[in-house]
This record gives sequence, structure tokens and C-alpha cells, in this order.
Amino acid sequence: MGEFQVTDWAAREKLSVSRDVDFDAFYVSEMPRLTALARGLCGAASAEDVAQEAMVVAYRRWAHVAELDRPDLWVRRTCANLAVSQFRRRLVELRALTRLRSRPEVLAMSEDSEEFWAAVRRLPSRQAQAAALRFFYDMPIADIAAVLDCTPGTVKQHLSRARHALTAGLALDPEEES
Amino acid sequence: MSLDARIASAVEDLERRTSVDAAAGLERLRQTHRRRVTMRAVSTLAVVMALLVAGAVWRLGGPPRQPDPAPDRPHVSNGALVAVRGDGAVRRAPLGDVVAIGGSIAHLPDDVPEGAHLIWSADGTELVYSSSSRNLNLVAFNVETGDVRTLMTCATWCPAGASPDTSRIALAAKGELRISTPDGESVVPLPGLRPSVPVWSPDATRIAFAAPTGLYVVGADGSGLHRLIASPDERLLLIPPSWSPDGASLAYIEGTPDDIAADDVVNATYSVVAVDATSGSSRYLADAGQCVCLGLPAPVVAWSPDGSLVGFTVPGPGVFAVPALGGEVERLSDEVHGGGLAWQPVID
Repeated sequence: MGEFQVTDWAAREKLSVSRDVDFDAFYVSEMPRLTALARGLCGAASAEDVAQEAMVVAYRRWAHVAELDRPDLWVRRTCANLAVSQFRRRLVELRALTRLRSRPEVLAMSEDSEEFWAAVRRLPSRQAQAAALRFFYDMPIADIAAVLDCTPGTVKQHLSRARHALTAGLALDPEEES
Repeated sequence: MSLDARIASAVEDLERRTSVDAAAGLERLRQTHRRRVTMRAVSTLAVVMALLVAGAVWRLGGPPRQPDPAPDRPHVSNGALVAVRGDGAVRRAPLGDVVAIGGSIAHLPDDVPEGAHLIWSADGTELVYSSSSRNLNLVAFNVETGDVRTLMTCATWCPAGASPDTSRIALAAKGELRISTPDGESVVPLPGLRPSVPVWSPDATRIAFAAPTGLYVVGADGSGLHRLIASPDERLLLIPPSWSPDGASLAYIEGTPDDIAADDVVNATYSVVAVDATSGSSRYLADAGQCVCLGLPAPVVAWSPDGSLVGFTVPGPGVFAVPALGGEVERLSDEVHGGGLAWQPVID
């Protein structure tokens, strides 16, 4: 059967970073665009809560996340998955409703922008995730593949189909695509 | 306007109108984290205190006059039955789609090899299997978030079973089981046996496995190895059994081939059987097909989380369920051509 190695359990016990300082910097740098990503994928009403929930999970698992090569990709994946999962999103929204503090007003976008993001949200979830990651972060295909845990070929397929669907959904002239 | 121009405009607009108060967000995050940690600690403390009080009462004056009401156990119902959908071709498709029958799941993995052993974690959030995209390492795939954790790496593939909470792994090797925990490893000698993928009981105190000589159970500490069912001609197929949720029984596939040539099986007849995990008394449940099984995946079996049904596949297309006490077989799907099968527990 061959030798085997036990991996990943030890990472739970490692606390080799100053947790709070490093996490705060990570939060400040990632949160704005993470919230935008969530808003693009699930709308303004729950965007802040979805992005915040992704960060709460990152904070709880920071001993593991901080040791990754790309903790930013890890939290983007968590956020993107939460944003498209109706079940998990309902849990997040339910928790948000129990908070007593008043919520800040969400600034509305232009009609064209609202129409665009509504079209993105109508895409199949994997296409929407790939498209949003590309749009917000201009991420290389390989990074998107790492976030979505699929092959680069699959990412290209998602992006291609997303572009076709958006072009049709927004009634754009296909010949005008650059 | 071109699509790229619309994209650029929409992104710029959204980012400009999305404001984040990082300081307030961090403070709220820490409050949320502290609250959830406190709730978990309070729950744990309540359990510990209850045990201490019960123990003190017993020591002072024996059992209480009024028996304590039975603690509320979480009610477990049947979620989706997850199966690997091969294309039915003989070893032409190394990968199969994973489908969910009778339920909806946010994320399903796309790297489960056809014929892979699938199990659910006890809380129904993770699927555990050997991943074809990760060197056949044993992984836990979170069906809610899509996250993947590596539980074990192996040189070739991991003939390993995870405990219900995924904290311990039992690895099958010739003549032994190797049980890994975060604290180390123990070896359970199985002299002369070649075990299938080991399967943990729901309470994680016992491990069951099939071997050519029969169906076996051993304690997780290595004690009490015994054979429940003897294979009459020592050619029982190495198909992992499935525990009933109360740990009292096992369901397994009985199939004795007429001939074996290398990895192919020729002319086998399969049955679904339930066996008492203590006494070894068994009862036939259903016919699981017959085939000239040239490289096709063998049938697999999965006990439902509520204990009422036993799901199983056959060498051809179809997923079926039979009442755990016997009865009529119901076809649940036509699409699956054998492979892994696992029934998701839903904690109500």
C-alpha cells in the first residue's frame, strides 16, 4: 500500500504569526473589494454581511489561513461560495437581522450598472463567480482556477460562456466586443 | 457600447458606491467571534456541569427519585443520497460526476473517481473521498462552502476511512490497520487479513471492514477483533460495509465471483445483507444484480441517516433503496452506473 503521511492537522496548532496585527492588515486590504465582489454576486442587501462572514471564518481559522501562500485567494473563495449559496446566504441574512445596530445606507448605482450586475447574478453560479473574480480583481486564469478549485481550461470555458451570456442578456452587439 | 466597456463602467460604479468602515468592521468581527466562542463554551460547560452534578447526586444518595428526562438528542433526517455517476463504460471514464438524489446541495466535487468510497461527516457538511485531482489524497469537501481539506496524503491512493468527526483516519494495509490521530498513530494487527476501506461506527468506537475471508469488526483501540460473517470460499469481495446510525447493524454487499482474473471479476451475483454487529445474525434484504463484471464498479451500499432504509447500487444503471427491516425495493435513480454512494445526515 505504500507509506502515507498525515498532513494538515499540525497546522491547526501553529500560531507562528501575531494574529491580530496581521489579520487587521489583511482585513483592511481585502475587505473593500471583497464587499464589492459580494455585492456583484448577491446584491447590495446582503453583500456586507456575506463579506463579513467570510472574514469571520478567516479570523477563526487564521492560524491555518495565514500560513497559506495566498490567503487572499482563500477568503475570496469563501466569499464567492457564500455569495452564490442560497442556503448559506439565508443563514447569514438571518444572523444579520438579529443585530440591533442600524445599518448604513447602501448607495445605489446607475441604472446601467444595476442592469449589468443583475445580468451577472442570473448566470450559472460558477460562471458568475469566475466572471466577478475576473472583473473585480483582473485575476489571471490560474488564480481564478485556484479560487474555484477547477482547471484553467474550465475557467476559460466559464468566462467565455459568461461573456456570451452577458452580451446576449444585455442586448449588446457581439461585433462590438473587443 | 462594447461588453468590455460595460464591464469597466459597472465595476467602477460598484466600487465607488461600496464603502467599508474597516475599523467598525473589525470591531464587529471580533464581537461576533467572541460571541460564537462564548456560546460554544457555554454549551460545553453546561454539559460538563450537568455531568458533575449527576455524578455528585449519585455519590451522595444514589440515583435520583425522579429519573432525569432523556437529554434531547438532535433529530437526524435523511438528506441527499450522493452517488458517483459513471458513464457506464468499462474503465473508460476515470472520473464520474457526483449527483445528489432526493435533495439539493450547494456544491458537489468534480474530482471523485468512479468507484471511490464516499462518506459524509457526522454533521452532514463534508464529503470525504480520495481526490483524483489531488494525487488521490483523502480529502474532506465542504458542500456548503466548496472548501477542501486534505486529511491524508498517500503514495498511491488512500484506502482509508475517516471517523465521523474526521479527526481520526484508519488506513487499510496488508495485515494491519493504521489509525492516525492528531497525537500520533497506532497500529492494529490483522494477521493474515487484507482489509477493504475501513468504516467507522457512528460513535467512533469500532471499525468494520470486508476481507476475502469475511466481514470483520474491531475496536478503534485495536481490541476485540472478530469476524461477523464468514465468506464460504474466502473470496468475499472487498466492498466496504455501511453502519446503521445506531451502530447496532451493518449492511454489506455479498458477492462471490465465479472467477477472478487480475482485477476483473467475471460472473458474480450480488445481494444486500444486513447483519447484527454483535451477534452476527444476518438477514437478506435485496438482490443487487448479476453481471459479467468486466471491470465495472461493484455495487455499494449506504444506510440512511434515519435508519429506515438501505440504499444500494447495482452493476448496471440505477440507485435503489430497501427498508432496513426488509420489504419492497424502490428505484431512486436511473442515472447512476455504480460507484460511490453516501447518504447525507441532516441535523434538525
